[in-house]
Amino acid sequence: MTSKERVLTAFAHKEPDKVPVDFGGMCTSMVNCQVVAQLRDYYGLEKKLPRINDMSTMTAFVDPDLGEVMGVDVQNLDNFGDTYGHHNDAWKEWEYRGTPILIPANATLHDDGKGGTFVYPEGDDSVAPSGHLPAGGYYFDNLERPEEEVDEDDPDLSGNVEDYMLASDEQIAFHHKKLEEYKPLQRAIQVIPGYSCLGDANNIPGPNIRHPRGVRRIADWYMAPLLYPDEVEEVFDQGTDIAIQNFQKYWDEFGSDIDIVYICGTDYGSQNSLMMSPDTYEEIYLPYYKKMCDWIHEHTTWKTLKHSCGAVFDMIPLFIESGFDALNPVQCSATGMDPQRLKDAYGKDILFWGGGVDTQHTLPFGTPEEVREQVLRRLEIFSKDGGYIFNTIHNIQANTPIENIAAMVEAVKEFNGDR
Amino acid sequence: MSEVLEKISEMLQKGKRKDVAKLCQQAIDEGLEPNVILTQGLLAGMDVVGAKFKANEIFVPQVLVSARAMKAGSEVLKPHLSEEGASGRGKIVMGTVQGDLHDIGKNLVIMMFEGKGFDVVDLGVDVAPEKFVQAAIDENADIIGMSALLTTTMPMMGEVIKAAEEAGIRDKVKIMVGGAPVTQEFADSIGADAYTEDAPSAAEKAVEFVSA
Repeated sequence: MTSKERVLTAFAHKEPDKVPVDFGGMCTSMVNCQVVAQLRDYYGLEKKLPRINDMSTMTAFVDPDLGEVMGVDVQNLDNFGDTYGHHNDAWKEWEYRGTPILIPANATLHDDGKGGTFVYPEGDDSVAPSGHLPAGGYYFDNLERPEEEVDEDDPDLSGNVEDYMLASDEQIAFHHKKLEEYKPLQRAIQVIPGYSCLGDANNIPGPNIRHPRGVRRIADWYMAPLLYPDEVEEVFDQGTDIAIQNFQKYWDEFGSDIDIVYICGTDYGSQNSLMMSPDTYEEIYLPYYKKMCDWIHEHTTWKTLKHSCGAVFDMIPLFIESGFDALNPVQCSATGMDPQRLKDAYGKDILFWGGGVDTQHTLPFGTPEEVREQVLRRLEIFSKDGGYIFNTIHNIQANTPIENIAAMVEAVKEFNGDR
Repeated sequence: MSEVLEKISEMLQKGKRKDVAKLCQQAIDEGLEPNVILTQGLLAGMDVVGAKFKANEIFVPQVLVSARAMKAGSEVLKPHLSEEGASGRGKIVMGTVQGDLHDIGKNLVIMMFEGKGFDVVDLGVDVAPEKFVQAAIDENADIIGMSALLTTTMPMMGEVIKAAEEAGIRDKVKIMVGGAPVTQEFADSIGADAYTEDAPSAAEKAVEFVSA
């Protein structure tokens, strides 16, 4: 089986020859840039500076040679833009916590005067910074800077529609070039044609927008469906139309060379509970997800991917009803997210993408043997009858011991009979 | 209990900010003691919200909307409350640890602390160990509360405890920790006095500490 066939077999809920594997195949299965540099050293690969795929998470692309030694089956079609509206097609050197890396050439960074760094929307420092890496920090986190507060008696959320943009010709050309590079690898290709999320907290502050309007504080956004549901639905309605135009464009341009589309990263769970009631999801979110997923299933061969962290066990039936084919990152460390319970309840109806090892406790703080044991156990549970792609739970964070990552990779190979 | 107080609690639970403010004014006009309006109206309502949140009957958005209604009511009462106010239960300095800018969880915990009548000094996000300790000294705090969302920043909690020891205030304050990656085991390993897994439990634990 090629990697692509292996992944598609898993999506068909049949057992492939081996469990398909993902590291760096999409925006929430990435690896911190320092860790990427350390992994390249560890595996004795050609020295090259990690390219940042997104300045917010400071994760780096897993290049094809690193992916090869880690045994990956999914290939990310590089995101053209990042959280701050930078373009990933030209690079410059920067130092991150002592490690030289490559960041987008159009990023503008300024010292915050306290050892930290500010970043600006599309590199435009004539406006207020939209992100901040504090001294000693690891991420650029978004700064909330709404131009004005929303008038509750006459709420205008039209500014929130600005997050949805039609894919530019420049982006399409970039993706053609990348596809040419990756197609010979015969991996399953994942892409984000354009922002199609319904209210992802990472984008709510408008980090790529010079003058953000609408509901731009995260806490306000969480309240918005209760305070002005009609206006929120209007944002989703318009956003969905733009998302579907992008799907159409990508289907025309790339067809079945693409396998998986990442639809949305909005988190519906916290560590211990849901972030909103299932009723709110069903009324305000589900119809728009369904419209997107139905369009994809009617017009393309693609599979749809939903990311949601947290304790979402009770929400999964609604994700399935929305039309999502896969769920990531399967946060087994959250309340009620026991692997066997998940597999038994929903394993036939949705592909689990992740859940392979706990990145809050075991991978960063456990021993290599503890990592190996957890990985083997999770593989045994999740891989039965297909419907599974191995990945860590979310991105691999900074300071994760390399020997633990190596133990994870080896354990997957051991399970797959590759060792 | 007076009908208006019940109504305040009910509207607060529904998150009706304008109604809560109007009813608080009405209660004052009816001659009710501001402290009574606060404790038996607003705080009683927040207690129910906290309990329902803990039981997963309501979720973060409803808590935020209720907290907003509570704030609107408190603002009406503020000019009428004595200097002591309703607080006086104890003082808590609270922040997200250095290197970490996440504050929604921390803000929820603050709301629950305030809902129990604590006076909370919010140090914000990215708070250095020495800043936690200095604030605890300056404010004569009973409790230091720390939040972290990231596995990478969580170890800073241990640094704050060390700084408190070095400043000689460790036995004068209780130290509480929380946040997604934090566990009881981690809290024990750094010598924190308490870990709780959700905001309402944090408020209950804080009450235990000052009642002891």
